[in-house]
Amino acid sequence: MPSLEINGQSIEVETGSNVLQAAEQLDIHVPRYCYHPGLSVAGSCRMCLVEIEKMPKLAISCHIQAQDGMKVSTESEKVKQARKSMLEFLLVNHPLDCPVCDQSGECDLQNYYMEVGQYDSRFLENKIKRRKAVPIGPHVILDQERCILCTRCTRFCNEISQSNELGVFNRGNRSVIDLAPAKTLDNPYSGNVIDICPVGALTEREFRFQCRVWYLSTQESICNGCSRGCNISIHYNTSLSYKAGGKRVQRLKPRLNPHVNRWWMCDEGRFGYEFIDHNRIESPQLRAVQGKLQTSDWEQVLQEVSTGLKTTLENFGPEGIGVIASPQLSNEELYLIRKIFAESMGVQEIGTRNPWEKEGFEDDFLIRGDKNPNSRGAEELGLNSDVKAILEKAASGKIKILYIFQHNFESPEAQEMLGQAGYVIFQGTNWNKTVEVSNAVLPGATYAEKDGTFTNFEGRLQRFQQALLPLSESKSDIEILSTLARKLGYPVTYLDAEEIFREWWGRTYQELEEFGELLNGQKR
Amino acid sequence: MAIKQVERDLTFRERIYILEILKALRLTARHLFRNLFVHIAHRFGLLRRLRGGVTYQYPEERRPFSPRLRTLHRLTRRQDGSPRCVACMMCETVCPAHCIYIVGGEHPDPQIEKYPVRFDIDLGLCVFCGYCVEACPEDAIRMDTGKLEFSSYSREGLIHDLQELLSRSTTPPKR
Amino acid sequence: MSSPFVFTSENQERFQQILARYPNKRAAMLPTLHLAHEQQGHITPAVEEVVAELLEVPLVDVHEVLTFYTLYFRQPMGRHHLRLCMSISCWLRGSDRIQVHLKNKLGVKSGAITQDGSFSWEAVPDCLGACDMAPMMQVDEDYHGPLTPERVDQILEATAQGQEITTAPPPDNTKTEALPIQLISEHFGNSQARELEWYRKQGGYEGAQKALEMQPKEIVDRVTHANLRGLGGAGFPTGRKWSFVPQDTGKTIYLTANADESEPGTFKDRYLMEWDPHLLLEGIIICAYAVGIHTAYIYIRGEYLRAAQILQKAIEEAYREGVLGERVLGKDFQLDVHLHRGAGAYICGEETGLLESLEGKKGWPRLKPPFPAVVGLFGCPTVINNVETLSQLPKILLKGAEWFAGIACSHHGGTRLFALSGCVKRPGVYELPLGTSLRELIYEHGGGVLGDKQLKAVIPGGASAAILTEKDLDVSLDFDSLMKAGSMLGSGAVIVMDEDVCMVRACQNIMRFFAHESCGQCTPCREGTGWVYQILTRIAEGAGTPEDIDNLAELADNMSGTSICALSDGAAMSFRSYVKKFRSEFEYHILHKRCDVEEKKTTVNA
Repeated sequence: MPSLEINGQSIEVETGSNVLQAAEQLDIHVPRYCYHPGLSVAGSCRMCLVEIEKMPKLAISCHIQAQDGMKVSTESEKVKQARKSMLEFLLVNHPLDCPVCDQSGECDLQNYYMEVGQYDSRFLENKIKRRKAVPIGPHVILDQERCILCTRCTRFCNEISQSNELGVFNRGNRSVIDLAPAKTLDNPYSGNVIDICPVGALTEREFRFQCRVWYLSTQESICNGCSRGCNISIHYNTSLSYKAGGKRVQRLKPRLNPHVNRWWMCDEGRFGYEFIDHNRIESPQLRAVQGKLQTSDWEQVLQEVSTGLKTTLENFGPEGIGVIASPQLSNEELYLIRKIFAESMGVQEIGTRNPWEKEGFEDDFLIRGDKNPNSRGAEELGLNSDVKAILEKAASGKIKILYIFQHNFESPEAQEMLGQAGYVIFQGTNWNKTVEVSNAVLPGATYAEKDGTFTNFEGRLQRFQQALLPLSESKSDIEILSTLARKLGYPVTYLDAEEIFREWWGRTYQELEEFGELLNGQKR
Repeated sequence: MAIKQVERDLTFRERIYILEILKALRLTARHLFRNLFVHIAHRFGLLRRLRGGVTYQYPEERRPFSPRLRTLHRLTRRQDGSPRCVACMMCETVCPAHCIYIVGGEHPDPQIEKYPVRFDIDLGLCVFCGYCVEACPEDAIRMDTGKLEFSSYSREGLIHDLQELLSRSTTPPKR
Repeated sequence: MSSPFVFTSENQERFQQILARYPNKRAAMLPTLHLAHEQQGHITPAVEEVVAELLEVPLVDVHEVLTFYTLYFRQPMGRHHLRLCMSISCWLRGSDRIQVHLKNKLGVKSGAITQDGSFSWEAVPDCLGACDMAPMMQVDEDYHGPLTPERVDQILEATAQGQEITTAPPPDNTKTEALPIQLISEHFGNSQARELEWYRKQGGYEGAQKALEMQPKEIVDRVTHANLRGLGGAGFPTGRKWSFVPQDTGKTIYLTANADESEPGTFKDRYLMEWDPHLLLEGIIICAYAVGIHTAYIYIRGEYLRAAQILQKAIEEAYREGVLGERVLGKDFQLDVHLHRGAGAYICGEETGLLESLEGKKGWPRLKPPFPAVVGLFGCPTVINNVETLSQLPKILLKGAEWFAGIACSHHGGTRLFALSGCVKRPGVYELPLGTSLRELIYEHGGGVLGDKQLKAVIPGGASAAILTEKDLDVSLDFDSLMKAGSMLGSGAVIVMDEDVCMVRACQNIMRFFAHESCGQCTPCREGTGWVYQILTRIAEGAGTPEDIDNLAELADNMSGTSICALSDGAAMSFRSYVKKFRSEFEYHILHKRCDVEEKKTTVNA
């Protein structure tokens, strides 16, 4: 554990740390482009130069190992001059693209430029022209002129996605980053190069020109694409509704979690946010006696649903009610469902897993075959009844009233069973085949519109936070269920998800560990 | 540092105030007779060069103003007539009244890359501060049309769109 | 989409032989590409795919290598390919004129192919290592010079007709009676030395024999005490470098002989390899035995085709006669030596750039520490020595350390080869003891300035060295003295400039070289060299501004000490010295927008 001094402050670090990491631990930010903690060290940008006592030349802090007794200065005159000159060199062939570049506002060239004070240019020559606005993959667009050759993207394709699409070709200041011949950047993690590119050389096609980044707000959340539960940030814009066709969620970005996804996320998750603003059920629906779904209002629908449930309970007992919850719901919502239906009403059969849903694509990195974020959570809460059996009972008439959450039963077998079912209540977010055969439709909220927790496949409890208000007339599932429960006569008075969480897990959200908590066999 | 207060009583003449009143009346009379004389002369077609009064006879006569005056906005054009604006959103961001609404789109020429699909200025909100002109990196928006009359019968009519703003710049730009 | 590429059966054999030389497949990258290039004349996308498959590397890596080096054609070229050298020494002797002549004669500009497909040519900014016959050009595999327009026509005609070109041999300046002592250049000009038997008869391989009877540590000590210093450019004490190699890691230890000689003005290693290949092999044996090495690679620059052929023959002969192989010179010591051709990159002369290239990647120098002595080729401890340094070893072993050290001035040992070129009467390779004065080299051995003109400037150690003026002529040519004088001994390439040379243009020429050769990995070198070249071009063409001079000085400081390798430092040292010592010429160009030297010139160069 070497102990060294940086800018007069002492710190002890792990053996093998470099000086840059040591500085970070002291909250001293050393400017850098090519260094990334998740990739190998390139040492080529030369921005992180620092002055180390007894060394004749400035040394790059991303490579030099921290040693006992080192005295480092990150703000001496020599260092400042070096930073300024490196920035000047990088700007020599960099195009004046800030007005049209998407990276503007989160660009490391801009940021360090303001910090370092390299304002006036003395470059009178012609800049080198390269290819601009070239789509190199389904999600990524390349601008070679903006590239500062930090090689983060080539190292990513080599080391992390191991797909080797990008390389540095030619030599000297004619060097360019480009695709290998006859290749496209279509690996399942291609979107990560957009995050790691410090400038606007690699940008997101879906996000291109949609919204300036300083208009975006962010919120911490968990991806609901699969059971890995990668930590993400939802970037949304609710203030300027005329941007991006009215889309609220503009993009998703990964958050660092050293135990789950480190710095990365897969493309499927990253670009799978369309359902939050598209094709939503915007108001409660009721099927008229003639047979078509019609827009209604909450009071009416909830009244009809609660009456239906009460009547069924009285006449047929809890066996007449079938509940199919969803592994897309949060732990809090599943707990509430269990409390209302199982504990209060006595419904025995509550299932969550769709038996027709096949395992999707899985790999040995982040992507899991189970495309639901909370299967493990549902399992832990004991909601494990056989869904097929429930549907069969509904089709045969044993179950009179079926309450389905979020599922899309597309298989013809399920479709048939649903067709024969008595009264189907659907609570969920988007229109699908099951909604179309339901009798009552309650529009719920997506994970971006509520607080809660998911338990990922390895039993890690992770919290996600609300970014948006529920769209249009939809409500959070907790609110819907609480109102329904009260109409049924059960005293359910939770103010928010955290209260449920406190009751279930015994802690507040604040007390949860930063990177999620493992269940470790605890059962609630 | 002390302040010395000096009090002095008004003199008798000052207290009566008659002199001041007469002085003011003399000024008024001077203006009155001069204007009368000049306007009568104007009626006969004489002394046209001399101004009759300080009133600007609007709308035939307009008050001259400096070229720096911030008047109605216009979007400038390139040589080929297309707008210079590249939808960088600088003006939209800096506008203190949030009255500019821009939506960007992909320009077919990779050298230009971006252009405004929609560019609205809500003049009902605009405070004519001129920040948008200062912020623009492309010299695409200017407030030098000299126009100050743009009233409308509806609030919507005060929202000027891209075409209207562009129309105030000549096609192609004068050399 | 080009048709799929397949190696001929003969080449498939050769490919297998190539693979056997390296511990992993990737390292066979450059030789395999050379092989495909030989078979097809150029590298197509189909070739790249096949190579990627054969070597089990991603396609992108092959493409990176292909685009990084300059010797691989990606389009079919003419039946005969010419490379006209435009580097500093050739430029001083009139390569500009030859360029114009070639363009007119062939009818196409540089980089293009003639109408009938017989010739393609390019004017290359990198030194081809033949400054003794400046101005020169490479025709297919051979070097031809000194060129005049008439000579060029003769060569073109002979080549087109498939005839042998009667090359006037370069003036034999390598052996003059005035040379005080010859340790490594005694066989220059005598092709018999290429034969093993003749070499042995002259006492060849006796040094190696002696070494094999000593203890390795003894050899290292002897070499250290002999004050032998690296003669490739850095001047690092050789014995000390060897002592850095850890013997206890359990890993293989490698030796690479650096024959990538690309520093403008340098051509002495080519002489050594063409005239005395066995001397190099003997030196390799000694070094290998001293450091516990059993595999050695000679990394020779791709342009030295003749030298490579001669060396290859010598190696094969050495194997046949038991000088290399399982039992070197009959002793219980095994040593394999392999020749590895580069593909056109000055940066592969930098030690870690060389290692990367040998490993089959583009020549991007590595971060140091760790140093190659500890982590080098294939991650193993490696010694990298220049050809000349290794060639000095046999005599040290035979005659002893004190003798060697005594030849030179203090803190130095032995002689070194000076490659004299530029505006001198007798350009060539001169072996002189370290400590000889610059004046002696130029005037006594080199015959003085061409046309007896006034000497204006001298580069004492290759393009990366700071320039000296006639005030410095009495400086002693050794590492320490030149460092004190603000320059460096470097590769021993002494380039002389006379009073009619425009220093702004000379500086521009040098920076064009560095901008062309920068690998592009790190920011200061990649952008700095290119930018400085642009500024100098602007000044030379009359569009300079007064701020340019001070900017250049500041850029030189920004490019020094901030890069991964020393190319940037070398370039900075070089152009900083021009601007400082010839400021008035730069100022004249900027103020008057024309060149005062060109105007004053009475005689045209060469």
